[in-house]
Amino acid sequence: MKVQITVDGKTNWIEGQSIEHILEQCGYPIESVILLKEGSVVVEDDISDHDAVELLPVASGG
Amino acid sequence: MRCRCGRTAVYHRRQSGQYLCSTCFSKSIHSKFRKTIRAYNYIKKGDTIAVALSGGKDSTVLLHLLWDLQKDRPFEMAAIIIDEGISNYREKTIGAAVKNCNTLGVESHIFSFEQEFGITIDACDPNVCSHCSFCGVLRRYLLNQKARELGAGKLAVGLNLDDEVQSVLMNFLRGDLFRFGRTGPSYTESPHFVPRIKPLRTILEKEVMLYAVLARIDVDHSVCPYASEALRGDIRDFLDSMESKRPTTKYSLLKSYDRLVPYFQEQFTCPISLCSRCGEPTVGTVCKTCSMLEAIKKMKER
Repeated sequence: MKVQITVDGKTNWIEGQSIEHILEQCGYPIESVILLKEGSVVVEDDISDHDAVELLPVASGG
Repeated sequence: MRCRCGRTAVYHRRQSGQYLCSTCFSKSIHSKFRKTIRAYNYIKKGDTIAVALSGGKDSTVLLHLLWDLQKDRPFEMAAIIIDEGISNYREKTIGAAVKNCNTLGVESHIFSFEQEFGITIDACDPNVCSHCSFCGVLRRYLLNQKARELGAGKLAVGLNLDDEVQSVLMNFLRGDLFRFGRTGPSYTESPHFVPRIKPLRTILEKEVMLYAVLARIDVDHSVCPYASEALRGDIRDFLDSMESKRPTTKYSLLKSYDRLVPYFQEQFTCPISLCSRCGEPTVGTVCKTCSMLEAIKKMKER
């Protein structure tokens, strides 16, 4: 599958076997991000080929 | 994907295999939070709780959950906000913290490193000690001192499950067994220490973040500019990777640790005295805060 990933305002098309695989390639294990599609929170199962997904990294603060 | 109630799922709790909608997810967080409060008898009717509030997601979610708990279990609550002096970072988080206190009608008190110690984190020399070590020591000192002065019986901190297991591994890797016994669910060293309570310690950081997003809580998501210095970051990456491959890793680690804590607390204790300079509790003659401030002063004089 191929997904458009936006994180911290930067957008890239990333290809992988699954959304987990794509996230790993971006340096984000599935447990470290929240996924947004069209501005709404979604689960990884609801991401399809050619979707545009925004990542919200969980880590913040000190 | 659908939640078992039929609504669209927004969260896949991989540890249990559940798919949860926004409503069921939110209920589950309230339930976990209240279960932890009950399990450790953290809050009793009539208690006075000081909340260590940064304006970030963890402490702000904690403030909101405690505020909600007040409806069923009356207790007094006030927020302590510490300004460590980190430019382009702390101003935003303090703004968010104050805004949340005003929205909920919670009294807030701001104390700064500059006012209390005459130094900011930005001005701290990393050759003396890392920004994170300096910040951690001074912040804990100030939170304890101010909570006590405000008459709080307990200090609530927003440490989540990830924070807890990261600390466990850090102390283990450093061979710091004394501290290993002090990371537990509750710890009271001396009457001069306000007992710290951690009502979010069984909730994953991702779930705290998601709760804040779904409840539209106004939090600041900035990352501290000095955070990359910390060993904690490496351990966080390792644990996130493990949890993604083997869900429940973090829960298992916390559960194992909680079973070991009583042993460590019994085996590795040291008498608490009062610092000869400032009068605050310490395990030595001079507390860590006074030692660090002295080292920085000497470095400046050179």
